[in-house]
Amino acid sequence: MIRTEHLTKDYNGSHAVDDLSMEIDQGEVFGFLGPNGAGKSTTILMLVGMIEPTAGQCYIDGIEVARNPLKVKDIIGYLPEDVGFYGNMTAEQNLDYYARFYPMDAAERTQRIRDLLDLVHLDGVTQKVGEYSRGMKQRLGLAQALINDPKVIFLDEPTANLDPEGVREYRDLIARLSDEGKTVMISSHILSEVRVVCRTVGLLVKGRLIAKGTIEDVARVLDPADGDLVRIVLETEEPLPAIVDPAIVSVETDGNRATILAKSDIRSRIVTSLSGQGLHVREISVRTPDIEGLFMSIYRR
Amino acid sequence: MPSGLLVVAHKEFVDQLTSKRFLSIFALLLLISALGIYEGTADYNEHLASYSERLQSATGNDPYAGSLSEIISPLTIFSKMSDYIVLFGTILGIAMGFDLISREKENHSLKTLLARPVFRDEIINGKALGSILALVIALGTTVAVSIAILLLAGIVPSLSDFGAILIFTVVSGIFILVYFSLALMMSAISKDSGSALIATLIIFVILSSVVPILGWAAAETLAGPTPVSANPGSPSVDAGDMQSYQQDMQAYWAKRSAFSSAINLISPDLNYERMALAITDPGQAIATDNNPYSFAEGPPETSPGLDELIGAIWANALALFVLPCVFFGVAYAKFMRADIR
Repeated sequence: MIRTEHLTKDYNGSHAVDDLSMEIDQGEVFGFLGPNGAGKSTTILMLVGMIEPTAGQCYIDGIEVARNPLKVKDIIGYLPEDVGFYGNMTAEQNLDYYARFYPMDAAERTQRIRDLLDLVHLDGVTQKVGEYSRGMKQRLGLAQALINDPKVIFLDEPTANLDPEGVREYRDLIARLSDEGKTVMISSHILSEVRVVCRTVGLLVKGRLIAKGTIEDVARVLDPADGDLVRIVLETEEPLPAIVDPAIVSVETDGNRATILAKSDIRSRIVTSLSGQGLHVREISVRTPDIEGLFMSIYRR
Repeated sequence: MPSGLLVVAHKEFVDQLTSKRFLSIFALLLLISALGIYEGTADYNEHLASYSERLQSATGNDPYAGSLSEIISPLTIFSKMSDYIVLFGTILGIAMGFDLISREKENHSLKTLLARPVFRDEIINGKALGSILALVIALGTTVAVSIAILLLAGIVPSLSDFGAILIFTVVSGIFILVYFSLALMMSAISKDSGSALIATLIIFVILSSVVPILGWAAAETLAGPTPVSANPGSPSVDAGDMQSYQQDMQAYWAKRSAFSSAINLISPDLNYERMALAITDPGQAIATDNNPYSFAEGPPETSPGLDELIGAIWANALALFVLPCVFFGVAYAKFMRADIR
């Protein structure tokens, strides 16, 4: 649904986005991670047809964005990082103005606006948007991104300014959009937030995509020490004998504790073998990499 | 579905008409113009009464009967209105345009708007169109109220007078458009509305005040040295020398006037004043060209023909029309290429 091919954007001779090629399938909720200034927002601006790439192409639903920006804008929704509205108008008036750019008649517009304001809990709010809090503006931002019932939704830092209740509602909304088969691309530098709602992520650093996949896939790329191997930590009540299994690559034993590097998760086989030898297993687990730590190390670079 | 241009234009039109800023300046323009017209009608009726009196007292063998000046046109009442338009029209134009684009950049609504399926040119054209329509309403109302006051005072303009009032309204609209487009251009160029307003005001002062002063000084320099009499200080003046001196002076002033008029074409205020005068008092407009030798001759006794009038003011009309086109062009080019991040 979203495809970029060698997408590049230069500002003053330096690459804001550098040779970005990736693909996001329909119905996927994709998290676009990276530190501030990594090029996430610039990538999204190219994907929504607001700026032109220096090189490369991007496609939404098979439509090349640079060639047909209006066709693309017809089927996408976009929440900018610093979403802004007309302060002299109410939420309803703002949404109605935006809705007029799409093929909707007055009745459709009215119904859609009513549904969306209800969805973001701004129904019944009569004050002008100029008097809104940041959180309320962010909610309205989500509503305006959905005004045309888009196929693809781009959300740039969507939880910024939201209170915990707002964040929870936002998560529910993403889940609902995903269930409806919509493709959602969420740009954020907050890993914990992306982990909750996204199935797959891409990590952008200095304009380059350095990893893409599930959070675990990306973590493995960031910490390649074990590669595809599984690190198993084992502790028994008795001193450990030699552990043998065809999948084992290496074993480090220290009394009743051992760290096993294996080609696959062989925990059940190990437990069966040790139990057969009359040993009691106190603990056995797969050591997962410290994902937060790994991302933080990337952000600090 | 209406085009993006109309959607933007409709919003801008409503925004302008409901803005306190627009309404307060419009109310001032309306009030001052109405008062000016009311005052003008009193003067006109007074002049008319005096004319009738003189006409009645004039007899067939009265040696002064032929010196009765032509009856003045009701249009002269509108000449005063042009002074108010120069002041309040400028303020209105600047107030309507200086934050049209910059405000959207400041409150980040431009990015939200550009995410819609709408071309950038539709946005800037729609904004200009909506504002111009509001301006047409404001100016049309002002002129309509002025005509109503004329009619209430018992002054009924002829059909040709109505035509002239229409032309006056159009020219006044173009004049306000000059400053609106200047403000719009600065709004597209500047990062914020404050900078746009300051830059617009600086250019306004240059165009309306500095250019005429510099134009006069530059014309003096460009025209060269002032001709001097062949025998300065001599009590006896040769008739031939005197005639030659007069011719040199006439040529000098004609040249200086031409330079001054050419430089003044940059000033929309002077162009508008000259055009407004040509519409409301054509005879006076023909006589006024910065040349003291023309002043000496005074206004023509009969109204100048249309061709003579066009010949006198075509450059001003062209200059008045070209300026907003240039300002719009720059605003358009800047907005189309603006980097939205």
